[in-house]
Amino acid sequence: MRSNLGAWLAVLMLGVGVDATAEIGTMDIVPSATLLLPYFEADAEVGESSPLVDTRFVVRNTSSAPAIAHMVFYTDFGVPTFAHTISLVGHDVERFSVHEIIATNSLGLAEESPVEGTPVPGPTEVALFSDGFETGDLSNWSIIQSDISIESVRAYHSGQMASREGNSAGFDYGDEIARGYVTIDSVNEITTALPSAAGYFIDGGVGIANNENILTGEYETIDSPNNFSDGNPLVHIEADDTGDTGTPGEYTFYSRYTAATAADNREPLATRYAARFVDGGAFDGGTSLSYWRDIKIDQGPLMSGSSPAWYPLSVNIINVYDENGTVAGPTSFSEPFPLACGRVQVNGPSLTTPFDFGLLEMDFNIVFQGEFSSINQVVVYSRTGIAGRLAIGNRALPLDNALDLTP
Amino acid sequence: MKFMMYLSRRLTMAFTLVALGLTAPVHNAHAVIGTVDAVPAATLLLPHFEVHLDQGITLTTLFTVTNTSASPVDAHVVLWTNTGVPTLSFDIALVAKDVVSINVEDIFNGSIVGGITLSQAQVNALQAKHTGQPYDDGGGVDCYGINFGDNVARGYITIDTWSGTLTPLDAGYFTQYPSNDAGYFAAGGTGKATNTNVLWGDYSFIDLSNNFGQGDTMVHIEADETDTRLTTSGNYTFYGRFVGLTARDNREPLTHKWNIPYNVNPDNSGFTSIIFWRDSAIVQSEFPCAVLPLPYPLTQNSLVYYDDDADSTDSFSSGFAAVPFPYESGRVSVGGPGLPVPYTSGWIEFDSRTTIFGGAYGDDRSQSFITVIRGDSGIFSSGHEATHVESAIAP
Repeated sequence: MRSNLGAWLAVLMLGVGVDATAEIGTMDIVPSATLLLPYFEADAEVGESSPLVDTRFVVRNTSSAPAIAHMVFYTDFGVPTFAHTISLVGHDVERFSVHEIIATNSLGLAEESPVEGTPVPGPTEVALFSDGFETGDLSNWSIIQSDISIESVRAYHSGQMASREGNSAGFDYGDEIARGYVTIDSVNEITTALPSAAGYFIDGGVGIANNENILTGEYETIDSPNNFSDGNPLVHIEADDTGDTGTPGEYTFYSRYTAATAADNREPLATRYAARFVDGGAFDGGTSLSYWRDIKIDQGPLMSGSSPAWYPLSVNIINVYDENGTVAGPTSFSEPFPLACGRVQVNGPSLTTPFDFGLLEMDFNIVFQGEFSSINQVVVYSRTGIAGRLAIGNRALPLDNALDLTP
Repeated sequence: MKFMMYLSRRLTMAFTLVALGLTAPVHNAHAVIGTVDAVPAATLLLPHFEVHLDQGITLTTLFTVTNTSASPVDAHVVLWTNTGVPTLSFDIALVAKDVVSINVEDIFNGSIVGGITLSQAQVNALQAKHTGQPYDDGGGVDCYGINFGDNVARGYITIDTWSGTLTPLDAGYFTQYPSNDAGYFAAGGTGKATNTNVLWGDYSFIDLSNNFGQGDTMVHIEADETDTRLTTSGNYTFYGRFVGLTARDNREPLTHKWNIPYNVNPDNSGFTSIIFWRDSAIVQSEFPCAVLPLPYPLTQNSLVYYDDDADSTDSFSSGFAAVPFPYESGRVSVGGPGLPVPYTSGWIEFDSRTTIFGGAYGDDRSQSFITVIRGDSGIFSSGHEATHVESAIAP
């Protein structure tokens, strides 16, 4: 980059710039140490070149120095499936399509290639990969490895049984759509470790993960059947080893993996939100809410067909208001936010309200498992559409921050 | 028409909400001064609106104002042209936890929230001023905004919490602006504008001709009379140019440095347009139509392009010298004549600081706001806020 000397001199002389970093405890769009793609949907079908459903996201290094970003995919049961490290030179950009990653294996995850004539391997059987690694007794095979097979990734994210492992890791909607969420951390080294690994977070950013607030990014969803598309910034989570996020006992973003030591130094998110909804008139596509929730534990895969002990996640209160000031609860309420991430249609089966237009106020602070059992960080986004024509995406209004609540 | 029926219904949307009961300790949204976060605020900024005034073309902007508190509050709405000339003000009475949605197109057709209507003369004036047409407001024929020749009304909107007492029947009700009312702001929120951080809002562009819709939260600008950065005379505040840089508005300024992602891939019709708002540092009034007034076009400190492989060049070195954000508000198409780019995909680092001759600040302080609109395949589009890199608040 060639510099503009005059401009630099002006900056140096005036010195009025203040870095938009380390404003801890508010969900602002500033370069951060961790990014969260709170929910993705993508066709998991192999060979689908023009996906009907996809989520695309971008990761950017805002600094002039090289950086390493560590991306971890999780299912909607909160099970980590694989990690991928991105080496970013200064001011670098990497773009991803979840459909390309999961359906067409754009990251080059290992492919299963059983010896002809042998049955599909189970968890204690021998599997043979096309590149020769990961053979032997798989009972101790760990999903922590980044070399999980692409077939298992597809199965895990679409709620199916992974034949190689013999278990499952996500909710089965029966529609071959991959679902989940993604975290992206700034790290000090290329690694396959997950955030739950010992040494991944050490106070001050001196573990595998560092505290460099340099990453930024955004995402967009594509829903071709409805002609819907919407986009938002990724959730930007700043790190700071001073103040609340440097104090053991405070709720931090990765508390579930750090035993409440605050070793991750990451700011937590909000626990209460307000979101408008429209379900009629021109907006006949209604409003759906996508969400991410803190499941509070390090969840592993499950016996096929079973659900985690914590499922379904509950909420404390949902109040619904119509346009005339009438307040009510949902008329049908069957845990609308039951998973680690997902999408719920307002006035759909699990969140039916008495009104076509109005406002939802949601408090997620139920008494729950894990650290900080009564405080629950969440992300909520909304999408309102005109069926077959367009959609408008927006962020719900955070009404607090988990740091403000007494642990 | 269902769409218009819906919008009409939304205009009457005002309702009382009961405070949310909580079992956890109750706290307000975490307010952090000096960062642009979507938390209840004393001022909302809708950074740019577009309304096509031709019949039969639905290109409009919707916005919603919510009172997040359990107490009533008044909100004061001001429309500005894209050169920063105020043209209309009106108030919204919000009861506790009230929500009001407004279609900007309705304002240009003379219908204001609460059943207030504008006279035909007011409508004519409003339409002319926001489409850049010559208009005689009694002092001779002048212009108030930029004429793009497409009959699209453009501008931006500010909304402040309010204690003013004028009614629509009072003289001056429709012309209460920060620029012409010395009592608009007083330190500590004791002027007509108050410092009550309770407003929340969002907006969306609706283009039914192209089946495009994009939404984003409005810009939420918090007030704080206890933060010396927002009370010290000489410090930069959001309304600094209207308060003589005394900081008596107590409003946090925005950002002056942005990272703006873009892609313009002709193969799949990918496009990016940028919605911008800028502080011209000038208290602008109407101007002769034949001459673009200073300080327009607004320039910038720097404009650096990066591709996806981290190659970079600035606007001067690349030969792509551009003034892409020349007015107080607008939309520019990336890769178009207003913002040619050397790469088909990447991001732009934009520093809006620029010294304005005769400006209110005497230096290059110049806050801005950027939203990115992106589309693909001629079908999909989405909008989101760009990344803030550097706050304009005093250190």
